[in-house]
Amino acid sequence: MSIIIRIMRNDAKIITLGAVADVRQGYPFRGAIPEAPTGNVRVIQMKDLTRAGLRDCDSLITTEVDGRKGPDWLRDQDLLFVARGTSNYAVLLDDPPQRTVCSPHLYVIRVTQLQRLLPGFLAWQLNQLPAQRYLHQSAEGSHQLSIRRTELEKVEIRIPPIEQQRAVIELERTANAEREALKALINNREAELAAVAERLLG
Amino acid sequence: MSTTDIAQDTINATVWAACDTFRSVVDPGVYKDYVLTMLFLKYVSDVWQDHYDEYKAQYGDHAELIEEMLKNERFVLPAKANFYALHDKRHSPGNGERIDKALHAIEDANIGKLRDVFQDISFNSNKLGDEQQKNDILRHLLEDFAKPELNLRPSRIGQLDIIGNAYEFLIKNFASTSGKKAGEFYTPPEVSTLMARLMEPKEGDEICDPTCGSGSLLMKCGRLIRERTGSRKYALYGQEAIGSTWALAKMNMFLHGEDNHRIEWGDTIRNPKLLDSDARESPFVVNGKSKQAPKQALKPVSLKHFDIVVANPPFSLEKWGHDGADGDPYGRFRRGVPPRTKGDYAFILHMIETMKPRSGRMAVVVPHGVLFRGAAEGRIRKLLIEENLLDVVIGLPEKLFYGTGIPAAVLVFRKKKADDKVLFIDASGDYQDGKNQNYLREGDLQRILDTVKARKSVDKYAYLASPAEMAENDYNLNIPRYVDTFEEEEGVDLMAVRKQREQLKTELARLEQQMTGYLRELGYD
Repeated sequence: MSIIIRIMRNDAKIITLGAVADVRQGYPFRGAIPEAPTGNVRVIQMKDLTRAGLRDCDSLITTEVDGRKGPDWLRDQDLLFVARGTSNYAVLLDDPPQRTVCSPHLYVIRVTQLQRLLPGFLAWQLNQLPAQRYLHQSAEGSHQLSIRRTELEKVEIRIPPIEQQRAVIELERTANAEREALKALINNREAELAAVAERLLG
Repeated sequence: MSTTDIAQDTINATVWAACDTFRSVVDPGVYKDYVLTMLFLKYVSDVWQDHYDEYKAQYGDHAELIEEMLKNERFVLPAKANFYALHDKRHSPGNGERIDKALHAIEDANIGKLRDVFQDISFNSNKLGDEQQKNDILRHLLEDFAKPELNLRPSRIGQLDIIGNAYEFLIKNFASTSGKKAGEFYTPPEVSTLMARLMEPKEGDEICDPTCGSGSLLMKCGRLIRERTGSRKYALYGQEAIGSTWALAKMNMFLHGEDNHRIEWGDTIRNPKLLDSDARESPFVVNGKSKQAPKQALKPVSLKHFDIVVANPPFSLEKWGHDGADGDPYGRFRRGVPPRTKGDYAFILHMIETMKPRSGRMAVVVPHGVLFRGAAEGRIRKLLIEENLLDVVIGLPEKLFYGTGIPAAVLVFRKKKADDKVLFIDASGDYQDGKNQNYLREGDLQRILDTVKARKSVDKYAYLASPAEMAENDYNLNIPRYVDTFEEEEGVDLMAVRKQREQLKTELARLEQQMTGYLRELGYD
């Protein structure tokens, strides 16, 4: 707990999300997205995302997008924000394929002041308790909960020094790696027991 | 999509939309009978009208001649019983009564074909609400069926199949939306296709379904003969216990052009209606002793026999008629009486007894308990195997049937088998995932049929078991005892496992160190 308290008790500046990032809705598909196997545009949908990130780039559906003005393609270091349903979270895109858009149920958050705020740090912060509590309060809907763009823009963001932001990103990355290694360790022990069973009972 | 597909889709969509009138007012189980009956009435009226117009064009004003010609129609339609007559009067009160009268008039005019079909359906029923609401609903219903999309004249839509298919489409949709009760009248189409194809129906076959529901399984068999040989030479027999479902089956048959059917109404176990006509016709003579034979003796003594018997009987029916089974006049339970609360073997034994001695073959859908339950069922099973009647056991995937998620099995019996073995097929893993329901794909069906044809063991899929093997298993036919689908685990290399463990530990130590560094940067020592 003391870590969190130390970080929270800092004097880092508080600012709204709208002031440091652009928030926009995904590509405005009307209704179901028409799947075209030969299409040259990839679409990220809600089902492609988990809290851990984008599932698998190869399983994204492809489609055709027309219109005079080309859509705003997703870029490296954009954030996707899941604004529908009971679980709201942000995912950092790490070098998505070219010509990719996302469905209108997702918001795209693009940090405009990169010298002050690292996108990875923003994604992490949006998934932590203070921001989550705010988001939970601003979710509305009788059938399905959703968060309006203007509400999302009002999330309060703390901006600590860049080095600290970087350290948090690294800390999160290593923590994830640790989780994977621990899982592997559990599987490893199961394999060991299976080997013993095979030898003793097979 | 061909034009007939489009016609089919629009008709399906329009009749389904006609149900909207009833939704939220009446239960689907109730209104399905109304909609399906109305479809039948509309069809009969349209055919009548079509032919009437044809004759009128041909013979002009000879009203009498036209009338005379129309008496030879498939269905005779009294003037006031016409759908359009009902539609014209839709705005005045008494719709329910008028429709009921029309149906009874049609029944009377076609008594040979339609006897009792409409007796269980009353449009003038309080189920539809008070007088005004009822009249309103029925007016909407008449208007829905008067839409141009539902013009069912033969001159417009061509072949009859479209109407039959629309009728089946409705039944299927009712089945998938009405939950638990659905299994009572409908077997999923892939399962009935599988059973029909397993039976390989041939020209001249007599086919029976003793629990026929809406009759679709029977018609699958008939259609298969038509498709394969082009012949219409076959006979369909059925029996159904629930009156309204029996009426559905009758109408379904007529809408599919299967006019030559015999579907009886009654409980197959307590009161089998499909009896040998020869036995009934032969007069009972006791050497002139008495012209009035005793009542018991007049009763026909034998069940009718069929080339093909197929059924999807109710799963483990609780009150199947145990009480009368011991003294069954047809001797169906000579191998043993099934348990009081599980009717599965009652239906199986009935079917066995109605197979023809040489060509007889049958397919029946059963819950898995039939394969392994003990006591009376175990003894019956043993006898059936010893008599070399059981031919194939097919385990199906779960969630295939309406109203229940349990996996079922199909048993195939044959009077004359090629060998004394039983083929077990575990098809439970081959299916397409659905939302609430799973489906068998064409490839899954074909795999089963190919395996049955080859009659050979297939690793992890099928096993040809000898009588000795089944005896060894105490006549327990539980499929996993014969078909081993257990995935063999790959041998584990203990040395590699230990090595990986060490690597992971090193990795964890390194990560721990890194994290300490980052935490320090964040001002935490």
